[in-house]
Amino acid sequence: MSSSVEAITVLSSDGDEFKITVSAAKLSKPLNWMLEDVCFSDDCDEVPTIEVNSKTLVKVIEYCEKHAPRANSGASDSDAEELKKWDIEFMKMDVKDILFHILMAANYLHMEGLYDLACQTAADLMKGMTVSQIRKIFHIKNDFSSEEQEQLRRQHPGCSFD
Amino acid sequence: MDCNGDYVDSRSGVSNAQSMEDGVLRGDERCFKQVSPPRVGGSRNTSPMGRAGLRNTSPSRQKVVKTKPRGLDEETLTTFAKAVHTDIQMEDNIWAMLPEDLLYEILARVPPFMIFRLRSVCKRWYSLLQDSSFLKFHSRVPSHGPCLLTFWKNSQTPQCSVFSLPLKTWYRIPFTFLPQWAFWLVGSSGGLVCFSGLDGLTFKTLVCNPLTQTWRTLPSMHYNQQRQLIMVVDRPDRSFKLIATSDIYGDKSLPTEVYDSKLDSWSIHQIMPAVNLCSSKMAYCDSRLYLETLSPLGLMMYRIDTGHWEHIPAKFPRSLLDGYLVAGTQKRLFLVGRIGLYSTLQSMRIWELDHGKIMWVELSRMPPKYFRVLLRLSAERFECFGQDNLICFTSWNQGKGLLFDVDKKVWSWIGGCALQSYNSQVCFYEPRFDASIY
Repeated sequence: MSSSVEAITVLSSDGDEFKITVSAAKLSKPLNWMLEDVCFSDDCDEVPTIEVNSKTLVKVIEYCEKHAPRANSGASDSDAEELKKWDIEFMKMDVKDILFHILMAANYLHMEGLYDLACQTAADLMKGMTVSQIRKIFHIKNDFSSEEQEQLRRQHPGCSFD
Repeated sequence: MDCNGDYVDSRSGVSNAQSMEDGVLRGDERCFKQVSPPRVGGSRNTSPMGRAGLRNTSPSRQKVVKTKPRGLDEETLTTFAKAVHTDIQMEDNIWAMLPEDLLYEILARVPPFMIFRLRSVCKRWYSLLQDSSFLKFHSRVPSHGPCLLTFWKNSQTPQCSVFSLPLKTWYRIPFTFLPQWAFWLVGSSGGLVCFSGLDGLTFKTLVCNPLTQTWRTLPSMHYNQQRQLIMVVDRPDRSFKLIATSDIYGDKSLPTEVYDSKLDSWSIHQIMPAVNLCSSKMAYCDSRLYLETLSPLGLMMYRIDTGHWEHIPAKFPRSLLDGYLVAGTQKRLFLVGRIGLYSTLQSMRIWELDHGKIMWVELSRMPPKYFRVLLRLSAERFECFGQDNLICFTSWNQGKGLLFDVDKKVWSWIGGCALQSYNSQVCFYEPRFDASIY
């Protein structure tokens, strides 16, 4: 294949096929390597698999396609502002577990921008939670004895255990 | 006791939950268009019924889906709905599988004041959130932004609240570690907060980091006398300095003393060659300390690199009643003060020092309506302090502060109970976990 390739096909961990443009794939080092492999290998029929499920990969590719023009050419402040707004909308998702998968995918694909965004979104979600809600989400058991809780309360008047 | 902190936290939580809910509704609507008949009202996709509605009955998996740059188009939406698998239903439980380093990254982005709440989750989190590797993660994320720190004593118990300007929320910070003698809030810089006070007859100073709850008393000065102090943190150098100038009561015979955290000792420098000090606070910018003086008239400037005082003959604006020096970013130095003799003619103005022409140039005026609210009586005192081109005004028994953004030229009120206390002391504060007291 020549360098005139505009998009490559990848497989999700569920076996679904996705197209990603070359410029968008450049946002991720592993994707970029994959792309080079596809472009320069003789065996062009092979479709690389990305260990990310379809539902998550749709979002990841959506993010890449949106951010690619700016990442590749640099953009003005107004573009950056618009992109920031888009990021906020992008992160408004219906279930929290997709956020988890996006975070894991961004980490796995070395996508700094998306990783930062996902971490910040998770942190913002935690901001509004009580301690017991956080325990429930992270499956943590309260292992402080009642004496220890009392001592913590004395030290940190802002502390709460529920 | 903790009603303050909890109250504000839960309030911010409510707004957060609402915005999430918005996202939930929108997400559902998008899916329903594609795969299932419309349902009345939106709900989370957690129930098995909701899932069933999203599940695609066709088993075709090999369909090639083109992604388009803008949003989810119809084709991807179909896949989006189709690709729902059983493992995704775990929702909450899945977060328990989060690798530790990713958990660090998330916790480092939580507002720093939540740290006290998060420590009570479990023993592992408690030790994790005090760990030096966590603090390193924290120093890598962008700064939280400016906050106001108020300190007061409620029947000998030190109280501290922090108002986050980015989050527009008050947080209570435990300050019970402070010794009894710590009484005056000297100021804050680079995440550290400095206090002074009299322990019996000894004048003492201490630095603390409210977030890590660490503190230490600094060595004694050469001259045991209550002094005007200022603390400055040099973040790249990971050090801080304290400068003690003349005695508050105008005794000019005392030398300037400088504490350097790298040497952990005070050194003696030149006596400030000025008399009849104004009572205003000092301002520090661009490695220089500024003070207003009446004799000689103008400013006294102390260069920290040479250890010498210089006189800057900048004439004060006419009819200046009282004024504060406020340091801005880089070299900018502001003078904030009241003009006019009669109450009806008074106004509050902000000048900037033109370093070249050695004169004050007017920058802005406080709108009269704000001035009347801030200072109901003409004789009332006001306090003024700044950081990074933000200037904050407070006055006695006034339940709110007035904030002025020098760059944006915007005035805004800061409300909240923590400013109300008559004996509260306020300064700007930047929360930083990585600010070391050594």
